[in-house]
Amino acid sequence: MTIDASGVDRLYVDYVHAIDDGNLARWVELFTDDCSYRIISRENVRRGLPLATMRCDSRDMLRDRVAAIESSAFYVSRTVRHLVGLLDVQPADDHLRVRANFAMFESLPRSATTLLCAGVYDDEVVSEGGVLRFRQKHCIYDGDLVVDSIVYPL
Amino acid sequence: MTELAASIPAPPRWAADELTRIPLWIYSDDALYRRELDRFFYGPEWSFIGLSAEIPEPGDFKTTTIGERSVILTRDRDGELYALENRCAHRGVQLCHEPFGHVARLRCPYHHWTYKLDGTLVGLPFRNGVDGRGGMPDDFALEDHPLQKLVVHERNGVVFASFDPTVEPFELWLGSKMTAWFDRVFDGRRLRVLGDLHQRVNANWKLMFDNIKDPYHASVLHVFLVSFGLFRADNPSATEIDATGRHSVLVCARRRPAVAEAAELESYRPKLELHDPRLLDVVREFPGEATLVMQTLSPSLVIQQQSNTLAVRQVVPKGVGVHELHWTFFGYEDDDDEMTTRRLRQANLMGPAGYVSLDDGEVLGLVQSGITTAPNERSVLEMGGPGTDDTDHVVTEAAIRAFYGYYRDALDL
Repeated sequence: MTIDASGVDRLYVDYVHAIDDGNLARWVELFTDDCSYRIISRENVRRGLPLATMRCDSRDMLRDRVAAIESSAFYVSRTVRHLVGLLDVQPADDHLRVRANFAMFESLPRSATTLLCAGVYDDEVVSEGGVLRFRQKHCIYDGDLVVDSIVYPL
Repeated sequence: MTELAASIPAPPRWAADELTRIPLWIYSDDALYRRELDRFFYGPEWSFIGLSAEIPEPGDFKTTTIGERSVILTRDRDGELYALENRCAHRGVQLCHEPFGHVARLRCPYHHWTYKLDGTLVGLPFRNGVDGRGGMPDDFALEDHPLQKLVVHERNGVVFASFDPTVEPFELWLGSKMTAWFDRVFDGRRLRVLGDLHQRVNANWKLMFDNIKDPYHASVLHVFLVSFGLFRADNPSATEIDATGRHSVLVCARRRPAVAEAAELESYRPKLELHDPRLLDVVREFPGEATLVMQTLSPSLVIQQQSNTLAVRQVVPKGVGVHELHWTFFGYEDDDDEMTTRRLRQANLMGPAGYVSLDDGEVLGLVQSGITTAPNERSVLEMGGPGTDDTDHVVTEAAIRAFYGYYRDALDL
């Protein structure tokens, strides 16, 4: 099966805007029901260790994350901003494999903008009735030390 | 200079019998912070440095930290563990810069001084000079220049070390009451390391211990814990404190009672339901009723059992107003795949993005912001009365008071 890759750029634009604009309900819609979303440190990947900093094994787990961010977690309010580099899109058997560098900046009230994380996306995109969605999105961040907190998805 | 120094008032003394008032300067005074490093991290206490399972094979090493000093944990050819200060005896170079590795010898990159894995110096280039010129003096002895060796103790796969060879025996330091809780999780089964998380918290290192010793906040700040019954003021629970006051444990049994009963509670949100309940697919795995056991072993270790997510959290001070948490999540070698997945899912509660721990990192930064400009003020610790004894409830700050009793005596404040 070949997937029309022309919509991949749009998927990544929607992804970035959904998070950076705080529209997390929209963010959830960009995933398949059985998706795997993970935030993982490069050091754990290098050592072959399975622990993720954030791990959702379904779209429902993404919904639970969003509910916590929006209603139960305590954190200082912040604006986040993604920069995503050029997409490397490779067709695979039933999906597109996409790799792309990312950086996420964070701005706290009355503070200068800082770099929260930089790394690489290791993603699988599938077509569901012509709509492209993430079946896998693994965000592998380079610097092992997280300063303060990761509140929003990378 | 003298006049300037004299214009800064000395911090007020800590009233002799007062553990319900904690002076705020202890969280922001740089000179005191240096004394704390010397007394607690480089003095006669045991600091956590790793799990045996992190370096299973002879030749494996891990770099870690006690206080601000870098330490190498090695496993020698005969399987023996050694803790060595990460500093070449020649020019003070940090020898190891990889977090983990496997080597036959430790070799300094600068002049290639080479050490065995027990820290013994075994060779150095040009010791005999070149063509009869230069080189080390005849009386230079390799055995006089080892890496600084720490005392090491392993208990059921958990490795502790101390810079101070006069430190009391580990089991005495841990005490019988804390040993029972320690052995509950570290019961002799081989551990399986699941991964690490490293987090910087912009707060004095003691605030992290205060936080874990403080069940009062958990019933209020952590909406997620309360709403899912993972920690609640009305659950069967207890605080236990060791004989010295420095170590303690918080214990709680999960219960999610009827909505009407819970509606009285602070921070309970009845409508919070999981779309995917696999996050909290908790199974009982330890003897007894407790489902949450948080043990603090001062000065460097928090042992976390929250449902099925197990971790050691190493507290690493990084200056008076900053510390890092180095989390190592683990399970047991006899876990099946289902159990490992369960532990990895529940790890979502913890770490810098954790459903629960996120709240703590954020709020501790705000504590530090609030107290740094008010060194002469005091915090109020009267919850549960003035006592420092064990309680059969968690509406108390007794474990914090007990810790500062030990702390204050140790530093003669």
